[in-house]
Amino acid sequence: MNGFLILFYFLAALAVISATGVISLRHPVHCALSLVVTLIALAGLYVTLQADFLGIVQVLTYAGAILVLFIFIIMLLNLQDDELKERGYGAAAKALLAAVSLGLFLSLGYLVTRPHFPISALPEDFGSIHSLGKALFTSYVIPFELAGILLTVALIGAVLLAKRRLELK
Amino acid sequence: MITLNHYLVLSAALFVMGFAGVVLRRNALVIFMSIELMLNAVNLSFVAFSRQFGNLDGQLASFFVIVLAAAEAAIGLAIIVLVFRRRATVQTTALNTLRDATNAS
Repeated sequence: MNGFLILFYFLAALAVISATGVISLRHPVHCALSLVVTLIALAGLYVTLQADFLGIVQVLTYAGAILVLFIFIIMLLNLQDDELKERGYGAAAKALLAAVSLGLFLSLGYLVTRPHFPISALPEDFGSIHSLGKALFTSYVIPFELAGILLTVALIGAVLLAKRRLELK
Repeated sequence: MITLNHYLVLSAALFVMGFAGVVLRRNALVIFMSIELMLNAVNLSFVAFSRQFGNLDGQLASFFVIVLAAAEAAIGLAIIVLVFRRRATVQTTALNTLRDATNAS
């Protein structure tokens, strides 16, 4: 049991440190690489929660597909140095927003640790592909189809947006 | 002993960091990544509750969130590319066409 705790703290620290990188590094490519580390740490945490298949899906779609898309777009835009400078908030406003975020974290942390949730016994095949697939194609079949429609719409939308010709100014 | 609270506090921390990224950063790409961070934090809560209650519904909700994130990333990045082609910038401060002209700084 202690090994699990060490694993949890390791993955949690990894996730938090790389998430800090995502929001604080200057170049978007570095942010994206930090985000990959966060997502893989989260996949490890899913495995500790006996959601093995979800962990695999996380690595495949998030760390694989979505982040590759991000990095591809960043490379495509080829941002120059002056473009990377963040214009906008001054130091005071940044400190205020950071304080607001800290307050939000403390109140969220307080709220989620208040109630006591009883732990239930796990069914035999909890988190297996078999049980997930069965739930997905029986009680969740309508959301599943809707997700398919959503992906189709997103695909068509992305193609239409990308094909649009802009008049050059 | 590892409890649900460990996961929920971690989830809260990641969510708030995503929130901080959205409000503090001015680069549209980084804002998008922060939104992904928030979605993932919520996913972690879903999976932790799923484990706690011995019920698969939370894991399935996470699957749908991942689908949503994929669709959102595809459309959002396409929009960013279009904005960049028109304005040659990804800074959200530059996108103020709809701003009230009398208050423009």
